[in-house]
Amino acid sequence: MIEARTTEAQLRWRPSSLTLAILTCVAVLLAVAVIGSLWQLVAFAAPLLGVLCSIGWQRPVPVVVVRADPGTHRCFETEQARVEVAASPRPETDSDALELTVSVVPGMRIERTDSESRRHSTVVVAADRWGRYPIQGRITVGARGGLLEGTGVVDAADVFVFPMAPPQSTAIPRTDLLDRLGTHLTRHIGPGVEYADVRRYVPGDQLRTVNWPVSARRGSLHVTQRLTDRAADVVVLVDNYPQPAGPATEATDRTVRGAVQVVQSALRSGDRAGVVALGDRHPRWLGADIGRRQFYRVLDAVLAVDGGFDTTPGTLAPRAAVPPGAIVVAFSTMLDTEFALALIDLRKRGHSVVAVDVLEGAPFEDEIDRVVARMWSLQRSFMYRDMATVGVDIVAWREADTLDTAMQLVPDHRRTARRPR
Amino acid sequence: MNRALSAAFGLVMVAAVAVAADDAALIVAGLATLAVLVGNVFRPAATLAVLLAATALVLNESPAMLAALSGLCAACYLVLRHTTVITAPTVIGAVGFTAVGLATVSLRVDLPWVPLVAPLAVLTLVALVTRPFWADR
Repeated sequence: MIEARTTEAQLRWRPSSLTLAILTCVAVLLAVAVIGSLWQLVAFAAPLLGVLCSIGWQRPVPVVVVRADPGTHRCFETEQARVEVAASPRPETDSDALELTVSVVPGMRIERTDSESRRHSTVVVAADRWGRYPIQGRITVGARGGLLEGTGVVDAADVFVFPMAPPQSTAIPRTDLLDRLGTHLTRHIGPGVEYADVRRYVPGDQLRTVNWPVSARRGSLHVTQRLTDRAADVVVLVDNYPQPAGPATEATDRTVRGAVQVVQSALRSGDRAGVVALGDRHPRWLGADIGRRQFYRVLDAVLAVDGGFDTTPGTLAPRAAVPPGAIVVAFSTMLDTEFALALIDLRKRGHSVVAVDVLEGAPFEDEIDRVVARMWSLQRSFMYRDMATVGVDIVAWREADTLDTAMQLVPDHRRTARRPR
Repeated sequence: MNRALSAAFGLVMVAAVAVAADDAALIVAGLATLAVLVGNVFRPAATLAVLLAATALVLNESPAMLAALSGLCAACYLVLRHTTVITAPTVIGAVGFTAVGLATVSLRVDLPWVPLVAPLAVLTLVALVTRPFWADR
């Protein structure tokens, strides 16, 4: 539901330019009056002093409330979002004393600003990269007869920009799928389309599966067997741990992009998809489900919009988030030990786990020596091998490649997913 | 409207101190008028206009009544220059203090220790007046 959000501004009160001007005049006039014994100046300065003294009798400072409509806006990259921001003082004071300027954080641009008045404006914003972008309202308000000036910055609204995932379908690692009808062709025999085998009729077989040409030739009833199509549960694991500055931070862009693409292709092929975002001590997770709505719920959970997801304490993926037999696809820079532990834990629970390494090269900001770069790549390949030994396959995803080609490289060793007992 | 009103107050302020002015005071009053006009566009010039008017006042040796009138206009001028309206407490404060200032000036007491106390009194006064601005921090 789209609804407006009202925020009370935390104002910092300072003497206004009027106060400073009057104070300057008073100080100069009284100093000259005392030094030069000029009594007319006292009479001249008295009204100015009176204005300064009147601060005690002026009306109390107002509370400024900023209202944004809509308070939370969701859109995709490069899409335009329209937000209406208005500020109002309580109690109502003179109208020109309050001024509101709307600003955005770097990364987002203001396409158009329509200012209906000094305290009410409508902005149209757009961003090229996914993320959460607060729309800030900068407030300047005069109070107490213009003697005080309050300034404050309010996060009036949030614009959540979702990543646009490429439309290519990503392959899922081959594993024993659950006994549920779906779109992934398996070697199991059951209801389906693909031909598997012909066998003797046994009582109980459906008559429409009888293969009449074979039966006529053999002289006894034979039936055609079919390969069945089954559905998968895909759970995407997103690495939200803080990353070192430099290439690792830039790579997090693709973490979410890849996660969204995997979820999108899973949902499109009728699979159940869920998401677990590990990091910041409170993993967010969303249980696996099907349908188009689930896609937007996953986006909400990845970017932590509202409360449409669950959180648990700890650093491991909660059991409820990963149904038995689910395929886990993780996106990470593979720099954090706790994330690797979560992957190993999932593998131990019997899931088939694929980790996509989004980090390209060494995560150092400066130019590094060739020997260091070589040692780094060796260390990484050792880590890949060790993780593969444990059962977690890691594929590297470089910036230049698309995710579907990178995921083709998942090793194709058939494993039987053991159920935990 | 607001700008015109503030300019009018500024011109009255200058006019009050330029009554029967001679050479030097007249020149300073002219400069103050110029500053009032510039202050319409450039706000800090308003402060300069008030100080120039005070200079003209000293040079012209105007009577206390005209000085008080000029000061009152200066207060209104500055307030209107920086804000849009003059609130009732501002007017009461300005007029009340004008009366107090006039009373102080007219009750000329020639005591020998007044020049000694005056700086301290002024300092205390300014400190007390500005107290609300720094006390809560």
